[in-house]
Amino acid sequence: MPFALYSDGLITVSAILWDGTEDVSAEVIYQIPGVSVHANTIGDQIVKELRFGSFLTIAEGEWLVISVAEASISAMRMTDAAFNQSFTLVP
Amino acid sequence: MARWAHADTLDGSLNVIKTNCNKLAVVAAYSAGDSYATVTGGSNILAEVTMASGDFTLGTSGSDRTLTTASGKQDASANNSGTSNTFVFLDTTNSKVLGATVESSAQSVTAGNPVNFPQIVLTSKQWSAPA
Repeated sequence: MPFALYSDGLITVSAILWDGTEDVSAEVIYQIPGVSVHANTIGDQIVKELRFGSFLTIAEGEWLVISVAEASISAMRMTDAAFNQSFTLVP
Repeated sequence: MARWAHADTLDGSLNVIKTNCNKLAVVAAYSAGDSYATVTGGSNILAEVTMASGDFTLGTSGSDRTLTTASGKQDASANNSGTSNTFVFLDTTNSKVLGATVESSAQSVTAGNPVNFPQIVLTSKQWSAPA
């Protein structure tokens, strides 16, 4: 599972957008930290993929979990199945 | 000659848990005899459920006595992420670890996700010759 620490506070985030046709395009949408993103769409376009510099790639349908601590921000990619997983313990 | 203990005798330790345990937790690390502060400190508790006397059932297995926890217990949102290691029976009122037993799946639990607790059977063994 990819994991990125944004300790320098300046990681370019780009999105691969899809307009419903065959066309896809990339767009730089913001820089970490301090900005949240609605990862399903940007404007009217569906996000097919989010790329956080060279560290972290989130595909369509996956979850981006951002944790904010006092001195750092961390981000983690989770598949939909992992995000919704429940755990059954065993004695 | 024979060795034998009455069910009431065997139930004694089980009843301590049945009466006083108000929290069942799964922790990431445990060593025999760890203090309450150690067990509950930091991010050691991965998930927990509230327990009451009615969540424990005394029973018999051969010549032994058993104490079984209720089924269907779930922590809807795990406290911390980590690998499940040990179940601990806690008395939070008196800050005691009443008992601990192995969690055998060693799963990588994710904070915020649901955690289902199984039925756990504790056994108080009939007296027998020392091994």
